[in-house]
Amino acid sequence: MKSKVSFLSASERPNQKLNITSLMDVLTIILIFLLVNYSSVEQDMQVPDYIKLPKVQAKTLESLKQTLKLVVGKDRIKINDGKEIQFNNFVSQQAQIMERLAESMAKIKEENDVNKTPSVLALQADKDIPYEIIDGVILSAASVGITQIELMSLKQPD
Amino acid sequence: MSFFKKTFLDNSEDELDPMLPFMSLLLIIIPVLIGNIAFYHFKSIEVNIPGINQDKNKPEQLKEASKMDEKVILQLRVDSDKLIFTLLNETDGQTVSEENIANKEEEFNKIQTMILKLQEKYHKLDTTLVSIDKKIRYEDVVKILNHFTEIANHQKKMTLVIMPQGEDV
Repeated sequence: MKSKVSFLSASERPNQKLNITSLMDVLTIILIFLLVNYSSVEQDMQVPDYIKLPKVQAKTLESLKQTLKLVVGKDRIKINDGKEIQFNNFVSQQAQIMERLAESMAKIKEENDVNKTPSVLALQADKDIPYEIIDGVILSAASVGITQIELMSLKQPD
Repeated sequence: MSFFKKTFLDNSEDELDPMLPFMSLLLIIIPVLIGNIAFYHFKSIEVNIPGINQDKNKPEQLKEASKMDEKVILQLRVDSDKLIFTLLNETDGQTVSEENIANKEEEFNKIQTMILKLQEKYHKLDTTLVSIDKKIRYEDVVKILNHFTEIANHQKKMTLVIMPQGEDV
């Protein structure tokens, strides 16, 4: 299948009309899609590949206040853009994990205190992890004086 | 001008004219919208935790609560099979009432009836202490708390305080 190439000059070429209706249709569909998914709230948050956030039916969506992002996976924990804390068995390594977590959180909280910003922890956790791990994280946060937590989930499509 | 148009320009350009402002508008709007598109919408459940090492870090709601007389606090215990709602008198810590609801999504509509009754009866009810069984999955925790807050915050803002449990001895 060879494509035909026209060697005629512009004046000799038959008058080609651009059908604008189909273009308008496409643009209108794109416009509707974008309007539906438009978010007036700036969401400076990504969901990492190694976790699946739970989905909930929500009528209201609040703007996020987070200043500290904590991602809890099945085998790792990550604070902001810092180093991941890996673990094989949370229960047996709980004390060390919590110590490292508290250290990292304390540093960030100190910086926030200097800048007079409240330390609000946004917790993204894999939907299948047991609450035991979350409890450890909450304890670490409490030990450094972080008292506000946002438990993150995704809004289920209506 | 009309002679020029009729003679040299194609009629199809006349059809294009009314569309051009709309097309220009679309070309401006679409990049703006693409910049702000959210492929997923986050839902956050705000919870407080009591500070452990410093007195100043206690949630403000709890400090206020201690000053008020005749105030009740709701305690929610999330177990794998049931949700235990206990209403406590804040001054003496005695149980005012207790209700158990099965931990199943089909039963969650009972929470609504119960919360609305409590909020009607106790206008100062604004704090719920939550303790959760360690074996429960995060997804189930979030679903229960989300359902609870959507109902409880409908009339008045309810503060959730999660009680950390720590390691088993």
